[in-house]
Amino acid sequence: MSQSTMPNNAGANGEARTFSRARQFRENITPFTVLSGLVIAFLAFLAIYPLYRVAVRMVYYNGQFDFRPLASMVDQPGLSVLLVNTAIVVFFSAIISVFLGAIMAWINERTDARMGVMTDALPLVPFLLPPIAGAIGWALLLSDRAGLLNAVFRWILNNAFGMSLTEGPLNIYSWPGLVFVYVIYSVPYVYMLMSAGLRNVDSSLEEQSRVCGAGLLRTMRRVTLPAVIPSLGASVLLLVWFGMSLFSVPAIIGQGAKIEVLAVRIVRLLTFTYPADVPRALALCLFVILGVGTAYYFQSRILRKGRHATVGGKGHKVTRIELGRWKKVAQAVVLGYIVIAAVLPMVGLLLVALNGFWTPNIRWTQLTLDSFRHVLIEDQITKTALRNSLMLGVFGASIGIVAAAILALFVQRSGKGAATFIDATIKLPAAISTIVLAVGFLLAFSGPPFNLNGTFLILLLAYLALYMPQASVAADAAASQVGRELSEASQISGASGGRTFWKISLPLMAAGLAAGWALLFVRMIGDLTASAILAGTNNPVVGFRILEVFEGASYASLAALSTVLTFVSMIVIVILLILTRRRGSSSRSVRVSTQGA
Amino acid sequence: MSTQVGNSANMAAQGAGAAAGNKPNIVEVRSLIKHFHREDRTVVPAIDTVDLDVHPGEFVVLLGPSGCGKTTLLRCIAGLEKPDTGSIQIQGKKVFDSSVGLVVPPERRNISMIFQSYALWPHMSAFDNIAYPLQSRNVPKASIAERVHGALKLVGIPELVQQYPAQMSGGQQQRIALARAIVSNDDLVLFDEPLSNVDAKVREQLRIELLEMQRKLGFSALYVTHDQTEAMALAHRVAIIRLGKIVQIGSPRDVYERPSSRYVARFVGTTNELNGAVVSPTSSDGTVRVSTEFGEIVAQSSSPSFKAGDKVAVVIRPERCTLSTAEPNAPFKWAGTIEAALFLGSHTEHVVRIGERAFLEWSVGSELREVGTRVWLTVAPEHIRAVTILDPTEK
Repeated sequence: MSQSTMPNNAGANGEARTFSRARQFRENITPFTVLSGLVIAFLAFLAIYPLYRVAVRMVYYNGQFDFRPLASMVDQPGLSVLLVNTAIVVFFSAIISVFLGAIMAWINERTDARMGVMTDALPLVPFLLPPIAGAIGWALLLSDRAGLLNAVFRWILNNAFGMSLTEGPLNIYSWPGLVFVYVIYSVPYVYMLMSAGLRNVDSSLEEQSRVCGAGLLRTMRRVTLPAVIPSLGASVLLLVWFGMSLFSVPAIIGQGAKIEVLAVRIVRLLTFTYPADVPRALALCLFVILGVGTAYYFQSRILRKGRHATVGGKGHKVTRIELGRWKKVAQAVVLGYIVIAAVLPMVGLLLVALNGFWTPNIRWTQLTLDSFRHVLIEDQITKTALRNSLMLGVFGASIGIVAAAILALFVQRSGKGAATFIDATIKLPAAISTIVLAVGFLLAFSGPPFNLNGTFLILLLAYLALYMPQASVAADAAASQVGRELSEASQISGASGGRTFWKISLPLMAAGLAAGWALLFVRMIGDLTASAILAGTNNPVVGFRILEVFEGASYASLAALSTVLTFVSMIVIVILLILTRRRGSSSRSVRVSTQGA
Repeated sequence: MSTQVGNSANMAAQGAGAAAGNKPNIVEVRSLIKHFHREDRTVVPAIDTVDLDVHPGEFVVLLGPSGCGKTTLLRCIAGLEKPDTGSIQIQGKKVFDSSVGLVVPPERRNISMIFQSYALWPHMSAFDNIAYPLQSRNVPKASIAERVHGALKLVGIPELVQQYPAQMSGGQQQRIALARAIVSNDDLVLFDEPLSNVDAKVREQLRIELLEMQRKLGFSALYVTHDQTEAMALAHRVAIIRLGKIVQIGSPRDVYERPSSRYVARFVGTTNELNGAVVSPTSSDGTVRVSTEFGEIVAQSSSPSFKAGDKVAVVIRPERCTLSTAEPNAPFKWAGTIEAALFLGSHTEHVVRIGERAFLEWSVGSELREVGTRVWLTVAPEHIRAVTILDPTEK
């Protein structure tokens, strides 16, 4: 079923070729190829086996054939509304996000409007705020009646313009509100991939265009944009995947606005329906596969064209474009996004946490740290959850990104056919919405022979499988931008495959991989959906804990926990960001004055 | 040796390139074939049954237009591409043999290569770039620094040792790439159009330095380029490639003065051409009678076995033409009119209209003739050459 959505260019070359391939394989076995093979086989197992269990469950249950899942493809109340809703949210949020993210990446990498390490770090801030916390933060700010920001707006409008509003003027529980929060969480994906892409494109290509008489806009359209096409393609793929699987934001905002999307319905059928309606949920998953599969197909076509810029062997000279009077506008765009995406919801969460409960009337004189003391000191489960999540984030992101890099290089070097197929095999299962793969993990690993139920390991494995597409997309873009000649030169120099990987490919992919690591880390410590199924009270993680607190409607504790989580993530990511920037500056960007002869 | 077509008298004069003594060849390519599979599933021959030898200390240039397969051939020898069939031997050791399924990966072929983009690693300093091949081949740490500095001194930029590639000019990057290629003292260095990215002045300078270095260090070089001047300047032997085949291999003088085909004649220099048909087979003195639009001509034959009726091209180099106002006493002379006269610094060029043809004449130190003057154009018989036409579709 899923294969039909993938490009299939294997075969065709005939048996003779396959035969010589096999022989070559035998001749070239080195420790590194063995290692790569094992890593890839392991990833494939992690992705395929749970999916296999899910697939089996679709047609076979309790020793007999059971076709209810397939039958319920059409037997869903309001299916067309569900699909249209999802398409609208994903489409509009993707368009707006790609536009905003690309503009901000360009401002930061190419113009004199960048504002130091702050602008590098701040667009990442919404990543540190788990989507559920961000969604709640904005609900706290812009809900119709009790929203803190709405109260401020009302105060201004009523006093300055003599109006007498008692609710509004804005309402987060609406179509624009829903798309708005999606966009907030989508922009950073685009931003990170696009700035890594821009950093790797020689700015002399752009200067060449300017010299040819093309204006700034024309240069962006004709030169810069085509050069970062792989990053752009990766961004769109990531947004479709993210948008179709996102559960927390539509769960909070969509529920209030009475807009239901696929992900929410799937989760609802699986966890909030008793007994769980597995057949209907699985049927809905097929639609998600279709959407993401299509996006992946187009991205792989972009990469295959190979006309985008790569890091050549020649050094880069980054010259920043002077924006003149537009500089302030550009800086305002970036700052505006940061305030909206991070500062405001954080302020909302912080105020609610300090205030003790949610009301537009803040008792400014009676703010206390009680809710922080509660989540950090008194509540043992929350403490354990924080520790577990942190360890999962570090191990999971490190293992995941290196494995993804190995996979990306494997696919890039060995080209088409089997490699593309394996690549797709590893990515597609996670694309079936995190919750389904999580169910697959439960089916596959909790019982015999693995007996991993409620362990740290099952969470680590699940996170690896779940977030491999994200790691992989980042690693693919990074790998496709390291010129082929650079690793060939290493091979010619007598370096083995392993040495070439550690000494050349990995360091050159570092900028892209570091961004990918940060992304993985944040996703893993903030994971909500998989954790809800695989974690338990004996082995809690932050996402699981937040869900529990949320269901208890304890907004002050939820706000406090989110603030703590954000703080921890921010420290880790800012350090990482500073390190990669410093390292990059010694070798990459070069002032014109240091140019020799 | 089977590939050593043509006259090798000049090779002795060139010295190092001769197949001296009994030393084994550095490179032996036999019956190499490689096809490319395009995305639309058509199959294109990239290398078509190529045989090639490179002798110790020899500088061989692969010359051809872009897309002719010269770079693919080089990459097959490097191990970066896998040929379909045939065999490759480097320093007496088989590195590829399709009959037994042998493929030695590039890192175990003990060769060096300079890439078109230089392929300097941007995250490493000049020192680290150059030390890399030594570290990869487990050279003792103690001697690495010494050898790196030696190589840097040899390429003339010892002061750049701690610089990063991004901080260097194109010429300096080129020199670092060269230092990285020679630091491990390999007997074979492959060059993939290494000078195409630097400006003309630097290119000329680097070409001279490269030549000196190759002659001094004595490594064998296999060099890919599409620039015939570069090929002439560097090579002991030039192999001219067309559609994946080596169509002629020989000393620069060989291929220039005794091209075997119109394709080679055109590719390595400027030609005046006449189309013709062989009247009688190649005679024992190596000449052949050809009927052309200018009448019957006795030309030097590029093949010992032309038959009557073969279509051939008669080619004459512009610098072998002589102009005179009085009718000369020569076997081949044609009357024409000066159509253009150009002073080009080192020489003068006249365009002479003879019937339908415009002939070029180059000479050194002569006065320009006035346009419209009636002149006689003569060529000594030994400089008129009848060659095969490989590409009849070309004009």
